[in-house]
Amino acid sequence: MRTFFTLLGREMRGYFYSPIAYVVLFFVFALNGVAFSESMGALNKEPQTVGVLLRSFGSLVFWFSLALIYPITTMRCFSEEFRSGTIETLTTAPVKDWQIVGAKFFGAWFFSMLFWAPLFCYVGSFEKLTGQDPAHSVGAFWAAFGMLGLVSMFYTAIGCLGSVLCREQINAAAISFSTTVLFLFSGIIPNYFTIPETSAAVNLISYINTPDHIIRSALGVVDTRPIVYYVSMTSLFLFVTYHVFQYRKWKA
Amino acid sequence: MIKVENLTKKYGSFTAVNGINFSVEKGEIVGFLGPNGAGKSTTMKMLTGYLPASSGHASIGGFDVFEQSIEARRKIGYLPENTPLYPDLRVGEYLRYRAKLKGVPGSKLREKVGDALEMCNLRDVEKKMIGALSKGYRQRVGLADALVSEPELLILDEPTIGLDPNQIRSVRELIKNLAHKHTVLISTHILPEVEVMCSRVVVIHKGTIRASDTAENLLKNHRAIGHMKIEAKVGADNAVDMLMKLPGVKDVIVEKDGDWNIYQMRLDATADPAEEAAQLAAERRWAVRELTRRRATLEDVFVELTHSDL
Repeated sequence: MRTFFTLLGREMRGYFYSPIAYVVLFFVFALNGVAFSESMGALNKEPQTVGVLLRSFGSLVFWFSLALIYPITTMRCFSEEFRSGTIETLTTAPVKDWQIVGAKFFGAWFFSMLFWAPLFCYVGSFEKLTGQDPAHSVGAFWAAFGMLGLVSMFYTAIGCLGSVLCREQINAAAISFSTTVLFLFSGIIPNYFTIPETSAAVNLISYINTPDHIIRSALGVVDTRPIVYYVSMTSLFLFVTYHVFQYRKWKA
Repeated sequence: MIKVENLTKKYGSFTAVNGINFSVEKGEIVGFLGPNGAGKSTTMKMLTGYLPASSGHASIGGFDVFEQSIEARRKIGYLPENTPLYPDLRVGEYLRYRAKLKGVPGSKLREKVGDALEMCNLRDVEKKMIGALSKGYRQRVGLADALVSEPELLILDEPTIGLDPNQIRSVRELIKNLAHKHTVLISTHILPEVEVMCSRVVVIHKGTIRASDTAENLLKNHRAIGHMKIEAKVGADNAVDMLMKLPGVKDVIVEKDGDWNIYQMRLDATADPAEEAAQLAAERRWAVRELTRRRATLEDVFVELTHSDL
């Protein structure tokens, strides 16, 4: 495990050495701040039936930042190693391929979770200043945060696959962004087609509908189906990433 | 230390390495020579476990490179061509990271990294970002990386490529010093260095091993490695035909320098027709301004073994 943690440490430090990471952190913090501020503005105008946290999840700005975070944080994971040739020194050290893929995934995932850290400040300061509950309950807040963690895990795995497929970071980001948007906004597809609500397609879409999962968890509903969905989809994408990584390495 | 049996690497229909066999004993320094595209780097990449072989076997210190890859890789310090490094890390930080990755225990980390820094003269840039280093320093960082875990075997792919003469000299000195402790497989184009440094030479061309012997034996045994030059005014004589009849002359190339003709002859290894050439010139009343017999070098052997037209 020492090798894995050495690799993970390098990945984590790698993010903080990159100026782009700070720029992205700044923008995402700012966007989430805007989303929260919008929610507070709405509360100021008229009484709301939902808490400020849930209201902020209804902001388009929040979903926009969610779609951007993962392609940007993961785009350099593998593509930079292949582009610069460091993949050769990395894989000729006594390191297993799964350790490399795992370290890159967990490094990107942990870093992406940093983007949600301001949520604690927002809800904490809201509660302190207004004396109102920011979420339906403490449990609902943690459920929402846990669901964000699962969502991050899945979209990070998508980003890792995009990065291992491409030599150029920008191409990796484009592939990850397209795939992320496809999964993230699949829930709106039924709005554009006349599909019976009981059809298998609608069931499937509701099963993979990320915004619905986050909103429901913010209401305090802990459903095991999204948990199974995100864990299994993450495993699937990492499995494919691992095999593409081996293929690309051997093809080099 | 290295045992290679029928190792083959194919890229589609192109065969980069074609059933090669060779071995390297513990403590040897072996020069791995060949022109660009001969299959040197591909062989080295297979030995380090970076590339899988299409067929054949290779083992490092008794561990199969493909079946027991991790154990085999623990024995190797590898410097790839072009020395890929992380530019965002400092030199010391990079070496500590690599040492940990290679399994150097925490208690020895400081000592091993310190030794590698000293050996490669990197103390003065220890805290510098790798991205800010010159090519020579980067090469030395790559070497320090290969050395940091004190591996039994060093595989160095073109360690002096792209360096200026001073940097080449410093890297060469470093490699010479390594010879006492490590087995070394080194690929390079600088043949005089190989003659000096390596106990044995393996020549590869078009994916096959053309020769494997000591530099001395290669020079002694190879068929056409001597050279002789005559600069003369030969009048109307057909000097090329006459020179070709001298004992041991393989071929003759003519160049012009004003009124003078310059005849370059390649000779059999044991031939020395200088006396006959002088007699011929005297008989034919040629005006001669130079007659020289040049000792064969490893470069001549290399050209002979790897020249496609021969």
